[in-house]
Amino acid sequence: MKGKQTVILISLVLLFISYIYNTNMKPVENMQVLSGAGYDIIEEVDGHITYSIPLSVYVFGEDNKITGEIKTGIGSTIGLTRGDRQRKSDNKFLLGLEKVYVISEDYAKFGIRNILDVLFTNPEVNDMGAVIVYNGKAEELLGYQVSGYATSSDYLDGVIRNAQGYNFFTNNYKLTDVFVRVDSEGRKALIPYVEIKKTGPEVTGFAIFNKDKMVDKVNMQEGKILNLLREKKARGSLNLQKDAKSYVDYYCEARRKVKVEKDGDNYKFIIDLNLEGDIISNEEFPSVIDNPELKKKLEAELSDKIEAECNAFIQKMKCEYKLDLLELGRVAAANFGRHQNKDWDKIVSTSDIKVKVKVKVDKEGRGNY
Amino acid sequence: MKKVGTNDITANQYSFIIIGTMIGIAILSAPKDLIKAAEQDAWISVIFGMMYPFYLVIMGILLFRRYPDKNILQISKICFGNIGGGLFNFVFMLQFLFFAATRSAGLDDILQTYIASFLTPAKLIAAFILAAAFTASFGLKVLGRVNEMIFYLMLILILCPIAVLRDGSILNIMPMLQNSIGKIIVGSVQTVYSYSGIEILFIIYPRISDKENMVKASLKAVIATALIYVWFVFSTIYYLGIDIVPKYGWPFLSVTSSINMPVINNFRYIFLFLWSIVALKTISNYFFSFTLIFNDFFKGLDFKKLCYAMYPFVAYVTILFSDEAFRRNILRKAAPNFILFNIIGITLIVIITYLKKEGKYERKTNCNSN
Repeated sequence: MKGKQTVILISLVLLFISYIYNTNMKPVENMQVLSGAGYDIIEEVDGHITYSIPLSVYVFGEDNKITGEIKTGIGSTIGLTRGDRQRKSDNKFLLGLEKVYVISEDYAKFGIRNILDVLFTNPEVNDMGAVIVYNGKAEELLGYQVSGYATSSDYLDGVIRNAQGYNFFTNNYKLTDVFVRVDSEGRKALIPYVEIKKTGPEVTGFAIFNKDKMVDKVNMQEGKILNLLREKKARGSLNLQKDAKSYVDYYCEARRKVKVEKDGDNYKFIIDLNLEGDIISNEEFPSVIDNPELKKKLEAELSDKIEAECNAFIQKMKCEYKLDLLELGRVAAANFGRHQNKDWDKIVSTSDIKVKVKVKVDKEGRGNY
Repeated sequence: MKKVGTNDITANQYSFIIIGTMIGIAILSAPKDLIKAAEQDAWISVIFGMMYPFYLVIMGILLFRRYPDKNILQISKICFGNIGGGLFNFVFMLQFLFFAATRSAGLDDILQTYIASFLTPAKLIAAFILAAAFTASFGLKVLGRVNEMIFYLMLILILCPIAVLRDGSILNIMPMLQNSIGKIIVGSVQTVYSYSGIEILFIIYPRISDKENMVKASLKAVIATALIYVWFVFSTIYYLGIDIVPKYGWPFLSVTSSINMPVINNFRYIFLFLWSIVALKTISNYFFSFTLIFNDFFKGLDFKKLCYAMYPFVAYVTILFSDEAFRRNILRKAAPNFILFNIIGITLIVIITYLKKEGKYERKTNCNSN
């Protein structure tokens, strides 16, 4: 029995050695850990296109000091950039920890299908990394030094992750969300748009996409209303302002419900917005909690204002963008059948869209000062 | 150490073996093929597809009523004579070899894609089949226990997608029954090979110790499998939507990768690591059945030694299947033939055994025993 065990043990060790032999393994200290990836496009005059893919990697220096470094590869396809980049890298890349994917605006307007393809194919990339569009060169944003952070990717990751709360952001700006939205029927990708301002990178709006191409961007003011109308459930603040010293701030959770009616070939969309939340500052009315009539008045005023803003945005969407940014086509397809060669952008921009806002003031916090 | 008897299994273990043989690696890619025909109704398609295992289970119960102590290898010889029965058994054996090989090649493919891209298929397959041969060599009782243990592990893994359901939407499933029933059935017929594995019950049912529970255990097994399949397909569509699922090779894995857990970078790796245990168990079951039928041709060989003797052969056949395009192609072409063979062959056997009822054979066996 003893002899048999020894034989098994020795053969297992031999097996293990034969398995790991020649597999080019490296200790993790010698790997280059990716913190973010960027996508730039260089368009020549004659229409020839060159891709430039900067990767931001951590450099582990002395005394546990971590800094960032950019490794850029250039090539006529995304695959070729890898070979180009390898000539300039001293170590293997370790994928799977990327925090952001920065797409330059030029690239987004050119179409991001090949980026999605290369990231979809590679099983090692992190599907949970945030995707953002930057108004300049991606390399510039990735190389930007944010004090206190090793790389700007760490900072941007935090910005996108933390964005939920006051602007009706959701956490649906990850790579997998873009995968899911770009090719689905009746859906549109919406990607945060980042610019570098005086104090550093910040979200200044949204890049709106038609399939895989960026068509336009909306500023934060519009983006807030767009999010409010588009997301199933989101949090944000809204206000009612008469002048600098008389206003009401309202922080709420919005829930959206969409009803679709079909009459022959005509569709009618009804968006029900249920807002429920607290007054966070009230410089106009006296305390509304003890006064039901005043509360009703405030609620009515708020809902009128929000409805007007929503209608203005929908009007702009129908006439200017001519896109189904609110994913209403998705709801219609779910109710009346999929894959019937319907152009939801066209249908939504010509249909009647009604917004019903219901505001409910719940609490007033500690009291009213 | 207490020795485990190799002969009998409980009815519970019997149902775990059936579930374990049907659910392995094929379930991870099943939604992809189903959606092509049945779109968002793919999960209904699964229910129709399950008619095949359900039918075989009923056939199994009928055979069991007639010959509770004989497996199909012996019954086929009673029905078709020695040569005809031998031929039936041979084809019946071939399908276990075929599925053992294609399933382990499938596991090799998925692991090469996601985890072990640095290993060659030959190295991985050699290890899988060795594990399968090792498990199978201990006999049915151990196999039953292994299946039982792994079933609970699998249950935990299957329930993981509940965590991501809030990220999906019921809109992805709607509208229900948009596709005609015909289309849904076409979808289920095309993917019916995903549900193969149920055939193992014809070999193992005589070895159940508490025979009165056999009927219940068989039905329980097939219903549990159907539920798990429906849940897989449903949650995948619910999370990703029908336009995206077909883009993935193994759509369910991307559902698991969205599970957020502290410390763990990506849950997919953990899922895949644990699921390969589930898949290995399936391969062991196939390997066991293959060797058992082989043993039936050459009685007197030691089963344990035969398992190891078969190892190089099965590993070689599997390496032949390791080319993914070839594997998928041959699976789509050859698997339906096996299924047709099972349906026709087993139905014939059942009909013949019932026609022979009170016939000459019963008396003949009595004479022999006297």
